Amino acid sequence: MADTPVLAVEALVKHYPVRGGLLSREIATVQAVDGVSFQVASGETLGLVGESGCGKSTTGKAILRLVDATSGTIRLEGEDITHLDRAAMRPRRRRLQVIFQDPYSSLDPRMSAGDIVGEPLSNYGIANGEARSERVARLFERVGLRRDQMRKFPHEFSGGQRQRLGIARALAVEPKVIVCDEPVSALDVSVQAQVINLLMDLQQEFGLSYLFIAHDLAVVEHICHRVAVMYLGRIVELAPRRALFAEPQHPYTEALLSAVPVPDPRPAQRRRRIILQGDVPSPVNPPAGCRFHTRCPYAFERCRSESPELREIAPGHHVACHLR
Amino acid sequence: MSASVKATGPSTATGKTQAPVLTVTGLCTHFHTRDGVVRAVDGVSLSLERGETLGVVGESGCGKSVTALSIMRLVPPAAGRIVGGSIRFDGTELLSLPPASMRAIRGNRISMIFQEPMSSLNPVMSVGRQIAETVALHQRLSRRAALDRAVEMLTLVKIPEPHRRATEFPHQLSGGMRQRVMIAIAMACTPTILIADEPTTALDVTIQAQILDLMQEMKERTGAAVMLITHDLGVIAETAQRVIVMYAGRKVEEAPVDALFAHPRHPYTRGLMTSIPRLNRAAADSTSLSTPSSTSPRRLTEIPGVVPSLIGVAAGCTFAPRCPYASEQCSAAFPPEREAAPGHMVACWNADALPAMPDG
Repeated sequence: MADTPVLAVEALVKHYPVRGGLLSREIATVQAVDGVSFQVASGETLGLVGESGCGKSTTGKAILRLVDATSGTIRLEGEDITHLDRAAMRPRRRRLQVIFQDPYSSLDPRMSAGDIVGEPLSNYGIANGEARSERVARLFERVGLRRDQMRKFPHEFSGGQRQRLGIARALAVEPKVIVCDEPVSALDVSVQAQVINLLMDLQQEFGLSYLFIAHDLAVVEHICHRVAVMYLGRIVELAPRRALFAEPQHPYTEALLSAVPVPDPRPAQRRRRIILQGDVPSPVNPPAGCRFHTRCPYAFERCRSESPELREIAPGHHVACHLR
Repeated sequence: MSASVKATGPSTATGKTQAPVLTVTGLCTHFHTRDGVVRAVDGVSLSLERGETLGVVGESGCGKSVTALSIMRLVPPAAGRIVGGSIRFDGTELLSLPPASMRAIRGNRISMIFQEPMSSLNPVMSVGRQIAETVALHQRLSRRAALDRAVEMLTLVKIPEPHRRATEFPHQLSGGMRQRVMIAIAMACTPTILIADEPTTALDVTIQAQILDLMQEMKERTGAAVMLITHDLGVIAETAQRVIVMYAGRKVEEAPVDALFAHPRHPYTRGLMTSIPRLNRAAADSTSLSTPSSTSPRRLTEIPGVVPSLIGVAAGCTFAPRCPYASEQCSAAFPPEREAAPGHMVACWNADALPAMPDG
């Protein structure tokens, strides 16, 4: 990958202040994202996985500039966009789009489906009037909706169709990167496959890059080229899909994969399950040293005091663990 | 069955009875809405054996939760009504039971846990008191003894520092701990049946593993029969002995878990199984992984279309509009349930004519 990555994140930090007391002083910080770095190449899907509170969605929001990063840099096609203001960010948003988990709450209920998808075309002066309608109609067909559904309103669509609308809207401005934040988690199993296939087809057709934020590991394995595993605001492992799923190196990745129930009752298909004790600690006061040491079955003295660096242990396979 | 009816007192888990502990026959639960009658559950029959885990799988709107609520007699009375069928629990017909007798069973001999513990727990009552309330109601224990039992239950569900946690409120607990509290409440009276409606859907995968493990342990300890409702075939494969597949208010397939996964006989069950991505499937499929940036993995099999509306009367098979094997007969009449193999029931006109499953 000699080309400039479409998206590059370096040492991204996002801390939220916790205010309290009489003067609303800052009494603590939620360390939602604490030093995250990765790159997404052209046409690539990078999966960002982890459990709730691990910082994966905050990372996505910081990249979209929906929240301001505390420190670190975000580069879109080589250009630093970390500190651009609203006006400067606007033209860049054409190249950086988003698909949300719950399509219903991200679609204006008072706008027709055609207007929802067409609005960005007008906003960016790409097409208006008759030309806009034609483009919207083509987008509808491309994502598997019918032309005549352009006059309908979001509540008249099913969950899967709404997600298609969300995809059409993101696609309208011909982006380079789409941040997909749990795009299929709210969908029924039988509809989920339709949307996953659509996302993969569109990637092939338009050379899109996806940052695919999800908690369903089977979906991530299916759709992603590389995967980053986050735990309490940090990346603990980043590797090509096959290496990550076949030979996980971080104890957390290992436990996470072993916890996924396998839809096959044959005993030979069962793997040894590692059941982690306890809950994820609070990101307000994360453990010292390795953040996973409180739940890690292999933790030793060094893990409690010294935070492991993310190191490359095989080509493209990065792990943050003292044992590797 | 009536010959083996036992007294309605607390049942012993070790009791060896062949009759199922719960028999649901032809259950119909309808909701009356402005748009018409929603046939949420439309003629569902099932039985639950003592000590077994019965998985009920299906997508949203398939009627799996309404079936559970009907068994608990908790269908919201404003709109919903059980319009037909029978639910026999340990020889007693629940549908004709007066409310007071039903209350003596609910939470005591049949208890239920839900998907979102935060909305089932009382936010202004300590969790210890919530467990004690159930125990005091059903077992006539003193306040003191009930609170002791609450702490004992919290210990059983492996909540650290149970004495301190008993005084805490639901918002002070994590999602996993709240579900442990729900399990403690449900199991406090040693029920004969535990109905778990998507008990781990709202939880993270490592916490889900803990809760499934705990449920298994509690089941073994008490000998309760479990009806586990979920959309997750993985959870089904790992916990259930028998499985019921529901679609649009009807049962379409029922089988022992091994048979269901090895030989799914209904096109909908097959569709579900082939449409989910599986962990390590791609890793085993080396051809699709040569280079990370070029080749895409194989496509998932889609089930075309969407789940139908349950308003009005569908003449034929409810799955026919989405079914790749549908024939004329399918849109004419709903297929009767028949036994395709021992214990393996399927409701499909063409079940015998389906091609072999692609190897999964």
